[in-house]
Amino acid sequence: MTESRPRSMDAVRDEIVGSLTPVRPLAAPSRRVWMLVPFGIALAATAPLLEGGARANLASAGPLLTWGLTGLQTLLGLWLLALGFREAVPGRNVSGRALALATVLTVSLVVAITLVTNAASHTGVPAGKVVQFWIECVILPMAFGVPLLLVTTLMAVRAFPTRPAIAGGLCGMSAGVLSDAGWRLTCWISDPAHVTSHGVSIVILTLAGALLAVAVDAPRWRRLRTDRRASR
Amino acid sequence: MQSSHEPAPEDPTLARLMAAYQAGRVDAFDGLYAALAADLKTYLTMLTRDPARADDLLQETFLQIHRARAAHTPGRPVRPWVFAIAKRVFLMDRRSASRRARREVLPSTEEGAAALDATAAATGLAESETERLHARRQVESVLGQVPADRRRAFLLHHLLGFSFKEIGDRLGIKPGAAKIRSSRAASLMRALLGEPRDD
Repeated sequence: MTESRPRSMDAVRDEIVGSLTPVRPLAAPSRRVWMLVPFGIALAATAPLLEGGARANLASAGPLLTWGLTGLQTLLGLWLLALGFREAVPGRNVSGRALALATVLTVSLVVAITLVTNAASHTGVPAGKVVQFWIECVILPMAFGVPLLLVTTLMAVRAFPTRPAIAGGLCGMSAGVLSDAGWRLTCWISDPAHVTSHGVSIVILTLAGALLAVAVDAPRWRRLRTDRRASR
Repeated sequence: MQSSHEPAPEDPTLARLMAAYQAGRVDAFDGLYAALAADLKTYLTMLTRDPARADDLLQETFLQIHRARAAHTPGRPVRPWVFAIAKRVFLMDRRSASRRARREVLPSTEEGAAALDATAAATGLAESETERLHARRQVESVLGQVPADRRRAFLLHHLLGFSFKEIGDRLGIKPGAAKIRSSRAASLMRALLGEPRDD
C-alpha cells in the first residue's frame, strides 16, 4: 500500500520477512507496574520532600493523616497505572465502568483527603499570597510528576494501545496522583480552596498523558494516511 | 473493575506460533497468517462492507501486527490481540478517509465560502447579501448531514462545475447515478432547510 497500486500479500510478506528479527516480548502489565513501584514512590512521593522539606505541621497532624493518607493515595496512583498499562494492551481494553470508577475514585479520594486533613488540622494561606501559592502548587507537583508521566506513557504506548488517549490519560492521572501524594507532605496548607490547585495539576497531567500518547502513537499510522493519499 | 469479557480459550497452537514469530521464525509468520487471515478478512469485510478495502486493510493489519509483535504478552490469547489491532487499523483508515473527504468537500476560507455560496444558490436560498450570509450558515449546518457520496457528487457539480459524466468518471459510477446523487443531496438539503421539495 505504499505505492499507488494495491500491494499483494506476497509483497507484504516479503517486507515482513525482510525485517523479521527476534524481539523480546513485553512483560505483562502487572509486572511492569511492579517494576515501576520503587521508581514511582521514590520520584513522586519523596522528591517533593527533598525539594521543600516536610510540612511544618507534619508531626502535629499525626502519621495517619500524613503518611497514612499519602500511602492510600499512592496505592490509588499505582492502581491507575495498572489500569493504564492494561488499557494499552490490544484486546484488553478497560471497560467504561472501570474508567468511570477510576475517575470518581480519584476525585473522591483527593477531595476526602483534603476535607479530612482540613478538619483535623486547618492551615490557611498567608494574606496576599493566595494566588502565588495557588500557582506554585499547580506547577511544582506537576513538575515532579512529569518524569513519571513520560516514562509510564512511553511504556504504555510501546504496548501498541488501541485507544492511546485513554491509556496515556490513565498514566498521566497516575503520575498526577502519585506526585500529589508526595506533595501533600510538603504543602502545609489544608484550606480546600488552595488544594484545588493540586487537583488542577492532576488534571493537567492527565491531559498531558493523553496528548503525549496520541502524539507518540500517530507516526505508526502516518504510513496508512500516506498510502490512502497515494492511492487516490 | 476491568473488562468483564475474559478471552475464551483458544487453540494453544496460536500461542506457540506467536512465540516462534517473536523469536524471528518465518514459518511461524506463515502459520499465523494461515490460521488468522480468513477470519480477519471476514471481520474486516464486515466492518468495511467492501471486500477490496478489506483486502487492503488485511495487509495493513499484518504489517501492524508485525510492528507490534514484541508487545504481545507470551501466554495471553493471540486472537483478541490480533482482532483489536485489526479494528484499530479499520478505525484509523476510516478516520483518514473521513478527514480527506472533509478536506475535499469543504475547502477552507475563501474557497469554502464560495462553495457554500454556490450551494446556497443551487438550493435556491440566496436572494440578497444578507440572506446569502444567512443561507451560508444554514447550508453549512445541513451539508454535514448529507451522506458523503451524495454530498461529493453535489459539490463537484454545483461548486466545481463538473459535468455528470466527469463526476461519474471520477467517482467510478455512471453519469445517471452521479446526477441522481447530486439531485438527492439537493432534495435532502431542501428538506433539512424546510424548503419545499421539487420532486
